[in-house]
Amino acid sequence: MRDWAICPAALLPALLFVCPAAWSAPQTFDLGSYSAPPVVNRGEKPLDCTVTYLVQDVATNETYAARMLFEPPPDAVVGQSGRTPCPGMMPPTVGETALAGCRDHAARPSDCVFADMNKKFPASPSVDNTSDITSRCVSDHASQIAIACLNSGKRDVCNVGCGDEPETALQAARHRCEAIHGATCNITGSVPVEAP
Amino acid sequence: MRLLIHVWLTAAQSIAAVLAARAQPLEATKSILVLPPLQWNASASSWHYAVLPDPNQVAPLLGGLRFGMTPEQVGEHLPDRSSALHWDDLPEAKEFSQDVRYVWLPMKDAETLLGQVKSCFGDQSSVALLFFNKKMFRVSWRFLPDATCTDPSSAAEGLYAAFVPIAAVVAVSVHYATGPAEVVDVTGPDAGPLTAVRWQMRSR
Repeated sequence: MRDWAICPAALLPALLFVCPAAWSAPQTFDLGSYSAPPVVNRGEKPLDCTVTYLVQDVATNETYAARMLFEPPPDAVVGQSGRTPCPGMMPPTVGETALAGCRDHAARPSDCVFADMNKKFPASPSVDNTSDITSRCVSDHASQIAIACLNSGKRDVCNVGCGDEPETALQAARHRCEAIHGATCNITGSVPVEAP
Repeated sequence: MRLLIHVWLTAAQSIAAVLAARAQPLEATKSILVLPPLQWNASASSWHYAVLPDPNQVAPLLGGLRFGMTPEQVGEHLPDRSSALHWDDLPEAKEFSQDVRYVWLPMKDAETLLGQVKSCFGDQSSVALLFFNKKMFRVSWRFLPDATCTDPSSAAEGLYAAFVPIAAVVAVSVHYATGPAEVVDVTGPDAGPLTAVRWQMRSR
């Protein structure tokens, strides 16, 4: 008797046999029609969160997407939207690492800036006139990250937008760029926040 | 009167500049180059590459060439070479202060190195392979325009886009313009200070 108490799992087959629910189960199973069981999100370990930054080389006008993956906390579960929760706060070192990715390809470190630029940027094109926070999109809120720019002479002046479709992200980036810089921002591009 | 004309001309130039800045093309697509993804720890204090960098990633893009090959080994991969390549026979690459040597071939004859080039380039375009300490450390594609291909920038951008997702610990890629040339340099990870040196096109 003490042995059964120690190992209740051993009782399971007997309980199933005597349980009325077990009696009402189908006698045969058609596994052929259930080749792909439905995905159950609740309680599953979520996938990594992705935070994607857009950074820009002001000397070449090249834009880089830097994808940063974060493991969810051990107790995290996938939300109702089916998306993995991302960290609420992003340390500045993550943005700095995105810039470093650009600097691997740039002639000078100072050529690399965040792609979301403020009104002062055309006159003073330095990283101080760009924003880390508004140059990124997080996978628990958006599927696409987009950039919209105008070309002021030889340099692209840009802003960033997030959305669930390329069109909505582009529209957000374009509205932001045109509101900040007061000109048409018709040089545009987008990529998925998460790696395909 | 002269002052008035000067003021009027200055104002006209300013208006023209503003109009030119505002007269953007209807729509233009901006390419976004994707860097290798990074995996962070839970406290966002350290990272590693999400995909383990693999030195073998670069060889298929270089037509089988690998950084560290000797001139003789590189020569075996080059098309239509009647004689072997030897360090002592190679010309010096003047843009470097160190003893760097190179071999070059017309881009149109470098088929194995053009797998990622999908757009046009001029006939004068070339590929240079650079050596230091008798080992190859860089491949440099130099795209030039001509009458049949007035803008080879798409070719250079397409090639560059193929190398950007490769981690810098495997290959360092840069894209720049010098004169009419668009250059894509891919340098091995052990090149040290040579990595920063860029080719400057001299007038011919």
